[in-house]
Amino acid sequence: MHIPIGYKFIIGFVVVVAAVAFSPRLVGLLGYSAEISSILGYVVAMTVGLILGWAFSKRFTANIGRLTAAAEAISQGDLTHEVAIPRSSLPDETHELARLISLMQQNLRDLVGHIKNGSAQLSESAREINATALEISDSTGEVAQAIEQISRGAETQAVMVDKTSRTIREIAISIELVAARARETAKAARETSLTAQHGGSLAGESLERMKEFFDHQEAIGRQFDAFNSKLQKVGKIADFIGDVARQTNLLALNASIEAVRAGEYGKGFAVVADEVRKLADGSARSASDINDMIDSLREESRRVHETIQESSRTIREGKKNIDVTASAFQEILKTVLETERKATSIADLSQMQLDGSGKMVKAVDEIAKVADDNAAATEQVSAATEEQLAAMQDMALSTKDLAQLAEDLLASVERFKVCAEEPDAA
Amino acid sequence: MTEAGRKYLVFTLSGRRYAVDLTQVAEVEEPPTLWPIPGAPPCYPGAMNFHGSIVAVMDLALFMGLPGGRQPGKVIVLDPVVAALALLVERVASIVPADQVRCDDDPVRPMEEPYSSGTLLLPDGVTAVLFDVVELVRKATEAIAAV
Repeated sequence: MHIPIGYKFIIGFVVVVAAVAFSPRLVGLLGYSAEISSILGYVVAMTVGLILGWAFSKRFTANIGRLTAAAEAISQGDLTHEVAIPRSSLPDETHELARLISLMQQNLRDLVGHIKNGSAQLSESAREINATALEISDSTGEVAQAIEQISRGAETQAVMVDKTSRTIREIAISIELVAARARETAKAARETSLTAQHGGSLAGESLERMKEFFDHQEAIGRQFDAFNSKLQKVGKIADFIGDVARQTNLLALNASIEAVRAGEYGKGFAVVADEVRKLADGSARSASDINDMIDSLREESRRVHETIQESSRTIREGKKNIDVTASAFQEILKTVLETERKATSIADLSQMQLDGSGKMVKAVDEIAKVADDNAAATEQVSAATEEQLAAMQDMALSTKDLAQLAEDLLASVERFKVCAEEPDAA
Repeated sequence: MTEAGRKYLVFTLSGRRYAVDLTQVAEVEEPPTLWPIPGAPPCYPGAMNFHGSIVAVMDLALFMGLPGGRQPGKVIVLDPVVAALALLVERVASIVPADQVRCDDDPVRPMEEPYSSGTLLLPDGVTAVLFDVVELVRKATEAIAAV
C-alpha cells in the first residue's frame, strides 16, 4: 500500500505526540512525588519524544539519504551503482524516486554508451575521412600537376599547331609553284612535240629529196655512160684522123723522098709534099690534141663521176643519219607526248593537292582553335583543381577538428562510469 | 745534086736523134709483115716484101747495142743502090733541109758512135748523129758474113 511520506510524518508526529502525552501519566504511576514525577515526566516525555522523533526521522530520511548518495554518484558520473532501497511494505515517494532515478541511470547509461560508441565511431570515421581527404588532397595535387602539364602540353600543342599551319601554308605555296612548273613543262613538252613533228617531217622531206637526188644521180650516171661512149666514138674518129694523118705523113715523106730522087724536076713536087706533110703533121697534132682532150675529158668526167659517187656514198651515210634522226624524232615525239601527259597529270594532281592542302589548312586552323580552347579549358580546370585542393585541405583540417571534437566528446563521456563490464556497449 | 738541095731524114733510136741522107732512102713504111730469116743474128727479125723484092730488116738499135724496147716504129727502106736493107727505127721525126742545119763534119768518130759521119744541129736546137750508111752496110755485111 502506497502511503505518501507526508502521511508517514503525520503518523510519526502523532505517535511522538502520544508518547509525550502519555509518558507523564506513566511516570506518575511510578509513585514519585508530584514534583519529581512532573519533572521526570517531562524528562521522559522529552526523551521518548526525541528517541521516537529521531527513529522516525531516521527511518523516513534513510531512503532520501540513499537517493541523495545515488544522485551524487550520478552527478559524479558514476552510473554503476544501483539505487539500493530496501523493499518496504509501505512504499512512499522515495521508492518511486529511487525507481525513477534508477530508470534515469539506466537511460543515462544507454545514452553514454551510445555516445561513447558513436563518438568512437565518429572519431574513427573522422580519421578515415581525414586520411581519405588527405589522399584525395594528394591525388588532387597530382591531378593539378597533371592538369598543369596538360595545360603546358596544350600550349605547346597550340604553338605546334600554329607552326604546322604555317608549314602547310608554305607547302601549299610550294605545291602551287609545282603545279605552275608542271603546267609550264606540259606547255614546253607540247611545243617540243610540235618541233619534233616539224623535225620529223623535215627529215621525211630530206629523205624524199635524197631519193630524188639518187634518181638524178642515176640519170647522171646514164648520161655519163652516154657521154663516155660518145667520147669513145669521138676518140675513134680522132684515132682514125690520126691514122689518116700518119699515113698521109708517111705518103708525104715518101713523096719528099721521091721528089729528092727526081732531082730538079721534083722540086715543086717536094714543096707540095712538104706542105702535105705539114698538113698531115698538123692533122696528127690536132688528132693528138683531140685525143689528149678526150683523155682529159674522160679523166675529168671520171673524177666528176667519182666525186658524185663519193657524194652519193656520203649522202647515203647522211641518209642513214637522217633515218636515225627521223626515228630519233619519233622517239622524242613519243617521249615528249609521254612527258606532256605526265606533266599534265602532275599539274592536275598538284591542283588536287592544293585543294587538299587548303582543306588541311582549314582543318589545322580548327585544330588550333580547339587547342586554344583546350588550353583555356585546362587552365580553368587547373584553377578548379587548385580550389578543390584547397577545399580538400580545408576538409582535412575540418575532419581533424571533427576527430578532435569526437575525441573531446569521448573524453567528456569517458568520465561516466557505465558499469564494471564496460565493453558490452553493443 | 747540089748541097742546097740536100735533105736529111731525122729519126730516133732509144730517144736519141739520128739522121740519114735522104738520097740513100728509098721509102719509109709502117712495119710490114716479116718472114724470119733462118740462121740470121737476132738483130735481123726477118725479111720483108718491098714492091716485089726481098729486103732484110735490121733492128738498128739492137744492132748498135743500144738499150730500148722493141716497140713498133717505122721501117726505113734503103735505096737498093746502097743495099737491099731496111732499118727498123723507133720513130721517124722529120725531113730537114740541109740549109736549115749546121753540119759539123767530124772525121774522128767517137767510140760510142762508130757509124757517125758528123753531127747535125737541128733547127730546134737539138743535135742529131748523121749516119754513115755505107759504113753501116759494110759492118752489117761483115756481121752476116761472120755468122
